[in-house]
Amino acid sequence: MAGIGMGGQGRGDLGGFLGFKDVQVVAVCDVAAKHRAMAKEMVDRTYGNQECHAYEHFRDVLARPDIDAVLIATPDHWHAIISTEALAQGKDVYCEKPESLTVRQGRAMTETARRFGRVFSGGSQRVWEDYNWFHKMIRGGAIGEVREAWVNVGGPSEACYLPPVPTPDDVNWDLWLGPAPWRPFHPTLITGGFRPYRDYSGGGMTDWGCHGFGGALFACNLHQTGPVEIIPPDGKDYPHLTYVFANGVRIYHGGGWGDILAFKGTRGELPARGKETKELPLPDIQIPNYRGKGGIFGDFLHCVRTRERPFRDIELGHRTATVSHLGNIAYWLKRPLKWDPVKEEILGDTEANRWLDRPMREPWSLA
Amino acid sequence: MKIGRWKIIGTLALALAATLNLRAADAEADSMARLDQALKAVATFEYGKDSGGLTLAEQMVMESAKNPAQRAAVEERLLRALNEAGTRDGKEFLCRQLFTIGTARCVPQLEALLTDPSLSHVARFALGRNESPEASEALRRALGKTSGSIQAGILNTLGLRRYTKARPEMENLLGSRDPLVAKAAAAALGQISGIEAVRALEAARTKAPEEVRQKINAALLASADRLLADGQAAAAARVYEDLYRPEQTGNIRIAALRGLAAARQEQALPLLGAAIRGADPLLRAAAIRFSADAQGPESTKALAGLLTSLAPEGQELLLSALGERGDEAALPEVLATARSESPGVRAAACAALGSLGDASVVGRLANAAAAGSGAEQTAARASLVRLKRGEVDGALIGLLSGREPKLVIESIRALAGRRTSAAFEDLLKAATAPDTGVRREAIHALGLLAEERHLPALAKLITDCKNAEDLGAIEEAIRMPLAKVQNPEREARPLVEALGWATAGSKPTLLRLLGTTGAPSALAALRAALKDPDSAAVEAGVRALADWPDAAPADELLALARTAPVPAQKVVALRGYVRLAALGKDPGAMYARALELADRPEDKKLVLSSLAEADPVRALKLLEPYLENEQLKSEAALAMVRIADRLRESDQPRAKAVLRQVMTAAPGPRIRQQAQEVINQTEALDAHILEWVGSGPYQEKEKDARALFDTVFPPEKPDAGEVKWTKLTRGLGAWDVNLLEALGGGDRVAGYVRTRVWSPTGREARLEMGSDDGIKVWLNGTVVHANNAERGLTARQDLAKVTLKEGWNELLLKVTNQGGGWGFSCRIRQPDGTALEGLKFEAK
Repeated sequence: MAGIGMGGQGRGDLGGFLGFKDVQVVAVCDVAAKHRAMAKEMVDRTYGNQECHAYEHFRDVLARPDIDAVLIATPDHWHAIISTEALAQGKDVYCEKPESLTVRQGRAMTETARRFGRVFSGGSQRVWEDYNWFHKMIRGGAIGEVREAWVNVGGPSEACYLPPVPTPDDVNWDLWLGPAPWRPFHPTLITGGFRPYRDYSGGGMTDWGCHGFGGALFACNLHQTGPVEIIPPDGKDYPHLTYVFANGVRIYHGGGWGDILAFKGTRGELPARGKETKELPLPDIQIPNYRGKGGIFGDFLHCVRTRERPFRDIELGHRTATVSHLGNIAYWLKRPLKWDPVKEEILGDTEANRWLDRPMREPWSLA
Repeated sequence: MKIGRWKIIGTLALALAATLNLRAADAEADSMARLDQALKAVATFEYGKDSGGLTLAEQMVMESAKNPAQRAAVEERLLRALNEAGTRDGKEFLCRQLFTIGTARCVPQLEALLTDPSLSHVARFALGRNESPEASEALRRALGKTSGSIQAGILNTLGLRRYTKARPEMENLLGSRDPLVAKAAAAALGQISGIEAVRALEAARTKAPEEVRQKINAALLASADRLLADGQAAAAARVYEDLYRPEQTGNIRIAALRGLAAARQEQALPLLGAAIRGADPLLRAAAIRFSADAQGPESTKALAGLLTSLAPEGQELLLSALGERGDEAALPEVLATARSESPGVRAAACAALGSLGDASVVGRLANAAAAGSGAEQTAARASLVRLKRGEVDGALIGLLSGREPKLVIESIRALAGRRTSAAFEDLLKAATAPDTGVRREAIHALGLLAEERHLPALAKLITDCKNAEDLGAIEEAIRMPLAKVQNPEREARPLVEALGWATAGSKPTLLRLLGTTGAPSALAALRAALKDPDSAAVEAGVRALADWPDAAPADELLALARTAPVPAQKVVALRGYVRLAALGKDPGAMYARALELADRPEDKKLVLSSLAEADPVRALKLLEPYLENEQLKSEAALAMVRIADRLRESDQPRAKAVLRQVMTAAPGPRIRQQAQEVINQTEALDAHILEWVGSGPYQEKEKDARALFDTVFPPEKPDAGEVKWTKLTRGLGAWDVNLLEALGGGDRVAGYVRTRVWSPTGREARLEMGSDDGIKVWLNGTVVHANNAERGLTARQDLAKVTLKEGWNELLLKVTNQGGGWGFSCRIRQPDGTALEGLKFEAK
């Protein structure tokens, strides 16, 4: 395996993969020399040798025929290019959430995985590991039929006006930017501070949103479709951004009484509120989740062997991220959107549709 | 913080929206004036300058997208600004706004920027998603005026737009000597697709250098996919066939095979079959996956026919794909593999039957579930739940009357998993079957399936039950349907009715269940049970009352604690009474009565420990005398320590007094240790420094708290003389300082506080600090502590060893705030954390 994008999150994930005995990490890759070095050091220390290769450019990683799978933990704006390239070069992919920067990118990532018959797991270990109590309770009927869900995560991304800082010698800034519009260097962008900014990520809506919306969609069994309407808050009928689904279920952004998630059904709520609510027993229900052992990484590795689709198959990661992206668009434009989850188009609103994709900075593209 | 930034935007937006809710015309003119003002900042904008105007302008642009007239006016202004803008960064901003609202009008100005290397991308960014044909033409024209990377970028965007009119230029550039451009041209042709594009790509491929050739193949693949999606299956298939040739790389072949499977449907089966039977494991695995997509029952039969010629691993993959297809045409072949010697294959067959099978496979799956183990059993069980075709429920119910208990059990499990409430009556019968395993499984299933209307039947099951263990199982099972009834009286009713005809054996069960309902009628039934001739019923009644959810039965329990004929019941009642004391209106009085009644030491101990949760004043009064009672002092001391712990934030002096009392009573070492811990925690808030002068808040544009931490403001400079220091008089708590009150200020700021510390001698000491968010400390001009944290404030979060010099010492703190609360705490202790006497402080 190789790890591409070796900042804090990436090194954490790499550490996870290093713990599996059937994984051998042979290469790491990052545009910042310090991150490369730290990642290499971690790998070398684990194996007790110096053999891990440290690359600056991902194409050098993908060109190696001895690499079967890659971990991608770069900022979001790079996910689509590197993952599709990796898939086309015969690698299986584990990509951190948020899987995509735009809706079209997510669909392209899914199609490419299918086209080349490869295994592609998105991230978010929390959808199962943190929220499986909800899934069991709701799908087991503990609150009747679920009608509403609340997801408490941060808000939309915004423009970046960070001041210029001279580019350090040991960072390939042009390569960090890649397909994103050019701007001068700033250190916070390479140390995890890129998340609030629209050119690179989707703000809190995708950061914790991929966990929260992912959990809510799965709990309500809506993870293989999408909303039909997205309505931003208007201060009267819609206090919170509201996603409406074809079966009538509504998911709200914010306003829930739970920590991240809360649900209301025809016969109760989760988490239960108030002293009168009785302690509901956990239903005896089996929900297929990870195959193999070892959490979400173990699931991916199992599927690499058996060629099955992992629990967070890229299509599901893409659909979850799409929910976040649509929310962002509704917040920015401040108008309700109608969405076709099959065609993946915003209906009757050409300007809103513009935001489904972005022309990449030369020479980068997805084709 | 998760929600910080968007709140600001939201507030700004609402404020803006509110402001824009003025009368429309005034509002319009007003907002245009504000836009003009904001755009002035854009003209000279560079990264690093104030971006406030840009943020405002962007908001207005986003909102104007709704209203065509407003949008046109805004676009007009943006274009004017683009013409006049003096800086590259300013123009970039304007191009981004045109992404949102640009129309054909903006095309000429954007086109002009396509040849400017510093702005080409952002101009293309705006044009790329602009629907007008003018935008496409502008991009096409730009091909002739650009080269290298910029030209490649324009090709990419023309491909993204699928602008077929640019095909001639793309074909031309396919032969470019610059590989970057040639590859981009190939990719673009792949996007626009069509027969001519394919022809051009194939023609160029023969002469192209290696790296471009790979790109051409990828583009041909994309073209073929597009052709297929547009309904031109034959044309697509021809391309796929070419790409499937053995000389092609493995990955291209895999993708081509997929395309062929989709384009040629049944006719592709021989190819898929060959790949499935072939030696290349990746191609085989891919081919099996793709075969899941080939349509029609003929394909299914052909694929199913391959099963026998594969090794077990291949069989497993193919079975999984057949299961995914869900086409019952494969049923016979799949059934045959269900008898394989390989457990993995048997498991895969069982799994596939879940989607392929119908009611006729129920028996087979039930057998596999009953006789199998591991993955096979799991898969068979899951499939029995999933089966959809035919009268599956009927078939399962039919198995219930079978003679083989293991089979009956599997059928019951499946019915429960399928939530077949129609099976309730049959399951009720099975709950009284001769075989124990069957009975237990049926009882468990009844619990899962039962609705409120089934409760009388379940209650009757209880009253008819002769077997103690079954009774336990039914009691367990009935809890779930009971819990679902939201109304306590309705929940209790079937149980109360059953009690009417219940025999001695089942009364305790019913009484226990009644105990959980909290219904008045249940309470009445429990009270009545106390007079029941059967002792088991009385005991159950006592226990249920002791577990009652509110304090209603308190008096009964007190009476029972005094007068129950059976000693064990006295104890239960007393314990119940003590438990209810916490729920009652006057816990103190109840505890006092309980103490009187308790004659066994264990019971006294119980009451004493329960007092830890009662109201402190009463509880302490009751507890104190017991500190002198050798037998009971430990419980009393422990309870008092816990009360002190609860008091330490709100009433330090009393907490300390209680702890001193406990220590003086000399209880055992374990309790002394716990008491000492609470003492330490209580003293955690003692002796904090509240004498400070302050300066701030300080801030810098675009800097968040993390960055401000290392930004040097005047108070940190050696000659901080000209800084204005003010004595802090507001925001001073018992141990902490609230800087929002003391200094004012808000998000993303830094503040400084300073004091002078007099020490009689030079000595080692320990600083104990807390902060929200980050804190940096200088002692006599040297940094002794720095923690660039983001957190809420609690005392003693950070500890730092320091050296005080004899006489006056200068202590300077810098505290940053990212958002929300802002404050700190600081005290000086001995190096081991105990009190350091003799220091004097002066806020200067």
